[in-house]
Amino acid sequence: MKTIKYFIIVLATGLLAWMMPMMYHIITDEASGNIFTYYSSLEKSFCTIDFDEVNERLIRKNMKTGKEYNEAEFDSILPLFYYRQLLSDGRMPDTIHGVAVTTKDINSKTFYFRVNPTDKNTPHIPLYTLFESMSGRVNLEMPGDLFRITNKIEFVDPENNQVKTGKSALFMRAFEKRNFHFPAKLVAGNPSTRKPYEEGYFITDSEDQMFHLKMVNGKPFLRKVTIPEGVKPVHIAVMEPSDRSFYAFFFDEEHKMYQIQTDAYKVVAIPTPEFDLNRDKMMIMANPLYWNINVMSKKGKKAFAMDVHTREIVDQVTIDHDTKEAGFFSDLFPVSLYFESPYTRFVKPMMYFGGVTVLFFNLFFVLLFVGIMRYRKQPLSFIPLVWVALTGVLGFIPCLVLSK
Amino acid sequence: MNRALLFKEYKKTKWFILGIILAGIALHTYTFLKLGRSFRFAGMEHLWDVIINRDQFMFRDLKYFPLAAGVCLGVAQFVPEVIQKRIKLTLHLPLSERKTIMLMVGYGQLLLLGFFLLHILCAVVFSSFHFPYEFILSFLQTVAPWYMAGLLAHSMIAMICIEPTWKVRVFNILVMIGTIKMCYITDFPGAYGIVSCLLAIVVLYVLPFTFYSVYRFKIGEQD
Repeated sequence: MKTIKYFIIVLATGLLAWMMPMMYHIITDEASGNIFTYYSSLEKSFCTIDFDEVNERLIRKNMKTGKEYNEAEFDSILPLFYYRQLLSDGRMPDTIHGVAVTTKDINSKTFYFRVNPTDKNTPHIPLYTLFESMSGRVNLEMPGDLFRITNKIEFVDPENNQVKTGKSALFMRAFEKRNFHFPAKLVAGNPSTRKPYEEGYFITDSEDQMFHLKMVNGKPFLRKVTIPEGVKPVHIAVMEPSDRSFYAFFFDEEHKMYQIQTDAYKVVAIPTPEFDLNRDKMMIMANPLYWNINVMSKKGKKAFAMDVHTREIVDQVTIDHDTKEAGFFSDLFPVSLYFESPYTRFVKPMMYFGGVTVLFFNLFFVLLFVGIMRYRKQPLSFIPLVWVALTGVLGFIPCLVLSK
Repeated sequence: MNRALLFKEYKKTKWFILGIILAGIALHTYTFLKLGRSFRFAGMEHLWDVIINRDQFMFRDLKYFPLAAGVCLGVAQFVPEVIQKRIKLTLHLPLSERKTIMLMVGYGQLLLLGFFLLHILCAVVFSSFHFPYEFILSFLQTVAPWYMAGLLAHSMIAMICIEPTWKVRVFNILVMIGTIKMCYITDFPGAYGIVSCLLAIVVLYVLPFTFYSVYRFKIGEQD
C-alpha cells in the first residue's frame, strides 16, 4: 500500500508544481507596459510615448535628447507615422531631409508585419486554400477546393469530400517538371479573401529547396526560388503588400530573417540581431525611409531602425523589463511545471528548476516535517523525508496530509 | 460470485447508464443537426475554411459530456456503498478486496471506455462523409483528453467515496480537480497532440489509487 501512497504523493506534488505557480500568476500578473517607440526620420532618433504613473499623463519624448513634446509637436516629428493627422492639419512636409515624400509613397510603402513564436509552433490541419491569382475580379473568390501536399499534391472538393483527379494530376505534373522532392516540409500562404491580391504559397521540399506555387487561369505556376547556400528555412510568412515589392519573409535555423522580393525573386537578408523565433516576438513598422524592427523578448524590447535603401541598422534602443517575479519562484519552488507557454499553442509539459536558495527553503520544510511528525508521535519514514528534501513545499503538503 | 457482484453493479447503475446513453445520443443528434444546418446555410466550402483556416472546432459541445458521464457513473456506483454503509459488507464478501474493488472499478471503466469509443466512432463515421482524414485526426487529438477526463473522474470518484476521513477526502478531491484540469488546459484544435499519450498514462496511473482508500478503510482510519 505504501507504493500506492507514494504514487499519490508524486502526482499531488506534480499538480502543486503546476497549480501553485499558476495561482501565483493569476493573482499577481499585470500587463507589462509595452512602450511605444518609433524612429523619427526628421530627428534621426528614436522617440517614445511612455506613461507617467505619478502625474498620470503621457510623456512624449526624444529618447536621445530627452526633450519632451506635446501631442501636436510629437505628430510633426514623426511625419511618416502621423501623416494622416498632419495632412488633415495641413502640416505635412513635402520633403524629409531633402527626400520627397508623397502620400502615395507613404500609403504604398507602409506596412506592418508581426511574427510570434505561436505562428510557427501551432497545430494546423494541413489543407490549404489556393485562390486564382488572375481571376480578373477585384475581390478574391473561394476556389472550390483545398489542396494537401504530402507525398503528392491533391485537390479535395469540400462539397463531396472527393479528390479532384484532373486538377490534382495537372498540378502534380508541374511539381514533377520542377523536380520537387516530396514530401513538402513547409507550406505557407495567406488563405484569406480579405487581401488585395493573391500570391499563392511558398513551399519547401524535403531537400529544403523553396518553390513558389500559384494558380494562374486555373493552371499551375511553380517556380523555384533560389535561396542562399546552406540556408534551411524553418518558417515562412507570406504577405501581399500594397506596393507588391516583396512576397514573403522567411526565417532559417540560424535565426536569420530574409525577404523574398518580387524583383526576380531576389532573397535579401534583413538584419535582426538577437532574434529567436522560438522565443521572441517581432514587429516591423515600415515606412518609405526606415523600418522600425521591434524585437520583444522576456528581457524586454529592442528596437532597431533600418534604412530602407542601405538595409543597415542606423539606430537602436533597448528597454528592459523588470524580471523580479522569476526570482520568487526560483527561491521558493524547486520546480515549476507549465503546460502552456507563450511560445507554442501545443500543450507541452515544461519544467523550470529553482535556484540555489531553494535548498534553504527545502531544509526549512524538512525540519518542519520532522517537527510535526515528532509532535504527532508518528514514526519518520525515510522516503517522505527525502521527497520533502527534494521538492520542498510541493512535497511537504501531500506528505503531511498522507502521513498517517 | 464475480457475476453476482457485476449484477449488483448493474442494478445500481442501470438508470444512470441509460441516462448517459440517451444524453450521448441526444448530444450527437444535436451536434449533427447543427452541423447539417451549417452545411445548408454556409456551404461545405465555407465550413471547411472556418475549421481549417480559422481554427474553429465544430464538436465543442462534447467538451464536458464525458466528464459528466464519468462523475455520474462513479457517484451511482460508490456513493450508495458509502451512504448506506454497504461497502463494509462488500469488502467482506468471500473474494479478495483487491478483486472486489477491481471488479467494481473495472466494471465502470470498461463500460465508460466502451461507450466513449462508440461515441467517438459515431462522430468519426459522420465526419468521414463530410471531412477529410486530416480533420478527423485533429478531431481525435482534440476530444481524446475530454474522454480521458471521464475515465479519470470515474476512478477518482471511487477513491474519494471509499476514503474514510474527510481530511484526506478533501485532499483527494483537490487531486482529482487538478488531474482533470490537465485534460482541459485548452480546447484549441489539435493542441494536445502527442501529450494525449501522456494523459493516457495518467489514466492508468490513478487506477490503483482506490486500493489505498480501501486499505485506509480496512484499518479503520477515522476523522
